[in-house]
Amino acid sequence: MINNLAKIVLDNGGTITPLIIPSELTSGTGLCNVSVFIDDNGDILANIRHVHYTLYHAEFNQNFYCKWGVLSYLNPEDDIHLITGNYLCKLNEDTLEVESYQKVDTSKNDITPIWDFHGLEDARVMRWNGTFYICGVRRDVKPNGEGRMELCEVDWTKDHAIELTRDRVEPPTKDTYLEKNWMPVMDMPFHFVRWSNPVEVVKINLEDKSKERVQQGILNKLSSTTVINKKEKFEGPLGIRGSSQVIPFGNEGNRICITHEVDFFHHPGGHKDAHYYHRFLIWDKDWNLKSISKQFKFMDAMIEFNTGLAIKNGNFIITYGFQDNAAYALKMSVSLLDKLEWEE
Amino acid sequence: MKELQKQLHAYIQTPQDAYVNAKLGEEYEKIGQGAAAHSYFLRAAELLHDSDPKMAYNCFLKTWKQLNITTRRPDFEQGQLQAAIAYAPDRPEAYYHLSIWHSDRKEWMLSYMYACLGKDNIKENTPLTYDIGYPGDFVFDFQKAFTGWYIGKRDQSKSLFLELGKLKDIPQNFKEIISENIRDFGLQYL
Repeated sequence: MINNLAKIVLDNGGTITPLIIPSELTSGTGLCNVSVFIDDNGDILANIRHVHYTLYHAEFNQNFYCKWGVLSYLNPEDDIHLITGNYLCKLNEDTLEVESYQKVDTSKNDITPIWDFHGLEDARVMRWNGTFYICGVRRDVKPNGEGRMELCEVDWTKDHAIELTRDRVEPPTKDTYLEKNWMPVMDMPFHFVRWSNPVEVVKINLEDKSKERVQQGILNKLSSTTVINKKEKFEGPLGIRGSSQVIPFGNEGNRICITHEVDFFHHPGGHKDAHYYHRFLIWDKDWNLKSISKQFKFMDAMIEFNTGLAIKNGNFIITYGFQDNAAYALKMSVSLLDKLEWEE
Repeated sequence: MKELQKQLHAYIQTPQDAYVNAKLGEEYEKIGQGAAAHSYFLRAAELLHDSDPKMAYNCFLKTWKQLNITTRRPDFEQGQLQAAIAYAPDRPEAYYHLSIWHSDRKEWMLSYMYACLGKDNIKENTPLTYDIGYPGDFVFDFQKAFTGWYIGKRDQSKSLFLELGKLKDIPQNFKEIISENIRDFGLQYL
């Protein structure tokens, strides 16, 4: 297990950059779960998730409880909904610092939220067939908090970022409660890795549109179909779930992504808590599992979450959130993969 | 950003060095990134819980301060200040901020009580490494003078304002309030 990938990266010539949106816009609450993407013209683009809470999470021996324990979402106490907004950013090519940003204006498609979590969470960024999209999970339209991936076309200029369309994607199997962390396959438009281990790839059926009336409005929906469903599975200690996008890797048609897994436990105070781990995962051109790294943590924290991976000039750009409170971009040489620990 | 980068690099080399965590938290606070600052100060407090209580107390109060700046989390703030007192009851700072927490809500008796408790616990008043907004031990007399007015202690209140008016080395904003009260109450030095 690698406890501190960032140290390995820095010790081998890489960089780390804090990703920051001015606190005048955020009240200083959490920035996290960043998705990075290299656009057709080489621009480095990113979506930074802004949450309207600060995460309280005591680590180590967990001596310092807050009023609600060692793990608590410090939402405004006059509005305890867990609210997410998104900032689309252009990152500086050299430093990876946020160079410009626009908050995504969702007002054209918003319907009044009726569940505890508001907004599009953990959005991944991609351009498919020339159209710019973000895609994440939304859970606020049904009274039970049902979560579905929503594909949103965004008109993004230097002056604005406006969500033009919002389509809720129905999974190929019925009656699931929560669909999230689908990983967009960057070189296969409208395809996602729904499950990583064993791999299931789904295709969104753009022509199969429907509408659903919900309590506060009407949803535009698209169906999806499973197109690849492998049986081969890596036997690890925890369930492996999606994190970054899936990007082409090397000259043989391979694809690489970063996955995450969660180790839930109850700490001595009896409350639920968790460690998050990540891995690099490589598939061959036929979606056979080729390599999977050992688990790693980015920066030694219990809660970290990756949602972005891109390659530019021989380097990975890896973006992630730290305890939901801070956002970072790592620049890591692709060749450094060989120095990491991998499963046999 | 340069100093933030420097402290971030230091953190990555030694992520379980509490003092490095605290320095990184301080850099985030300077640029208004309270959530990030909160994370690193809380790590520092946990790491120092048994080895350096004064610094742990300081870093724990910093977690309160971040949300105090953010606003709209009053119950959390109150809880953090109470927990800070439970951890280090002989330090004055958390008593002061709890006294303010209550006086902001016109809870005069509770505010007065914390001012009295704070005044009785100023022996461990060596300055903290990181600022949490504690202008000095005089603040307890100031809070007693202010809140005492509303709970039947007007003579004591007048007397305290007169004594406070003699202090030279206190922040200007306190001086102005003290002077206004001395003037408005028609108080005179004997």
